[in-house]
Amino acid sequence: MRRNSTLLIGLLVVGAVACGGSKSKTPESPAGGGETGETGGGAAETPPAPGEPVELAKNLQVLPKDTPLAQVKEIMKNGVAPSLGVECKFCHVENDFAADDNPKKNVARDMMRMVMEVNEKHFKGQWAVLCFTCHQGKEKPEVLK
Amino acid sequence: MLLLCALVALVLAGRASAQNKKMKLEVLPKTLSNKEVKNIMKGWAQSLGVKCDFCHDLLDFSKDTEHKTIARGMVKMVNDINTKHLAKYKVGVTCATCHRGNAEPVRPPGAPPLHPEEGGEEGAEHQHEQGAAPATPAQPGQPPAPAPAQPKKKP
Repeated sequence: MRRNSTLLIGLLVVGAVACGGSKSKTPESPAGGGETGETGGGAAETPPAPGEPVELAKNLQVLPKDTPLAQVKEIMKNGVAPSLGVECKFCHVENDFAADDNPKKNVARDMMRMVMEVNEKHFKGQWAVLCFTCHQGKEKPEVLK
Repeated sequence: MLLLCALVALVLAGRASAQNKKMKLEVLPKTLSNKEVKNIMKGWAQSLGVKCDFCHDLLDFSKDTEHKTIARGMVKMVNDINTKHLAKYKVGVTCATCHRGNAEPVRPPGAPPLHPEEGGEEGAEHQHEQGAAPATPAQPGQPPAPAPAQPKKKP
């Protein structure tokens, strides 16, 4: 759980800054839906009113299971997707973001676990390695010798 | 004249002996020849856009330096990544995958720098090696990161 919390924090950092720092938010663009957020939808997220239940993302396997859907979407939309230069449907089934039918979603989960382990083991928990570090905005990292 | 010849022979023998001296390898296979190691090093240097002195004491290449220790850690990391995480996908990473000719891999636009208070790349590796807590000010030329978007060090 501690690892998962660390991952969430890191991904939030990445999600918030990786592209958020240089791109304006585009609420009209398709939302990421999270690791496996159950809905897609492009509507702008409005924070729940105090006392209102927070909607959690479904079918989370790497991110902490109690992660709010809005946070997962933020991570996906502003961190993961732009780092790979892809859109939601690259990993998600449209209209059922929680579904695992697209095999790329499990690849993405593996990559998240890899990044998490690398940062913990080799960078003392700092978010040194991000999706962008290798992908640089491309689906597959460029092969260089 | 004889003395001079003997002196030259002695110097040449000394140099040859130094060149054949087995390198101190801790991460690379000890079975590699010096020539093979040098070729590998040239590749690494090119991947990071650096020269030998980035990691080596030019007067004593076998001497351990801070950057050399970090480099060893990175080699272990690459091996970990390739064997534990990427083998099943039949792909692999190299130094160049992340470094792309830079001593420090490029961060995404707007991401907080890893080692801001050290004031640049030089201090960067030092800091991550020592596990110093990351700070948040933006790097020169980068937009400041949003306030909540700060890297957290694991407690």
